[in-house]
Amino acid sequence: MKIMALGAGAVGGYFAGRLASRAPTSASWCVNSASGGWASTA
Amino acid sequence: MREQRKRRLGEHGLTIRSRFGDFSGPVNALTTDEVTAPVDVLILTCKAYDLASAIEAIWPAVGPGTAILPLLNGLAHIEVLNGAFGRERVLGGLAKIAVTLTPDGVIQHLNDWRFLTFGEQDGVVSARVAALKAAFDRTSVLATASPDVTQAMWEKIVHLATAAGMTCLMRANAGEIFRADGGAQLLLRFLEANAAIAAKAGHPPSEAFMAEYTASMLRDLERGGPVEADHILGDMLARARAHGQDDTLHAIAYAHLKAYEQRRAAERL
Repeated sequence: MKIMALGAGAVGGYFAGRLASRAPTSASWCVNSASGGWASTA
Repeated sequence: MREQRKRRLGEHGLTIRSRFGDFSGPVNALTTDEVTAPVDVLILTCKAYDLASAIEAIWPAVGPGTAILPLLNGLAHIEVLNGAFGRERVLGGLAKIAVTLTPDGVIQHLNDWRFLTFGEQDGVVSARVAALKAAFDRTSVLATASPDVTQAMWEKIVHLATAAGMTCLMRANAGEIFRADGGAQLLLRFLEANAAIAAKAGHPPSEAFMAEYTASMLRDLERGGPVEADHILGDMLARARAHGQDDTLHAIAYAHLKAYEQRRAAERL
């Protein structure tokens, strides 16, 4: 299962990190937008 | 800023510090221009004010079978996402978690909360929802595949609207509000007003939710802690008597708490 968390705050990173530590899940974390959004921390 | 974050993640990996297990390891960090292939599940954790740009940016990650799981507070984003991606792609969801990003890029988990609730909007526990739960069940996240996630989202907004509304209006935290003369009554009125709004929408908060929301004093009592008998029930009792109202229940509850305080002071709980 390919999962991607989008959002540069801590919530997205937390869930991406937890999933990344457990194969066979494939986890990505999208931390940037062209508009410069998504930077707020949770 | 985000390029720096990505570069740091590439060099050092992602670090989570948590009482439920630290994690340090590589994570596939991307910027939006690098998102080229659809994923099975897209967890949306941006803020509501970034939703429009997020929708525009994530299309490359959305394929015919992609499920979008938004974890934004509130409800209004669901219809926006339905309109953009089609209702069949959009799950309902909410997270109860307290994490923060430290200046050095570490994700610090702050307490025991690690709850994630999600489900199909129509309530069916689908194969994709079951698969997502299975993925989280291999981690320390406490995931629930809900047959009524919309109800759960309504209860969360009732909670948030009450807590945020009162703390912001009063410029005070919940404890300070409860200790203020009349503060508890105002908060409950706010809660009931929010609950009435949810009921009008067909999602009245459950009795369990309302009980949990209003029973912090009971939790204090049950753990043997101090209670605010005088500040809350004593105050209410005095008011009831001043206005000639029926004080039966207040008198019983107040006497119970005052007796409890004596036994607690004597270490005879």
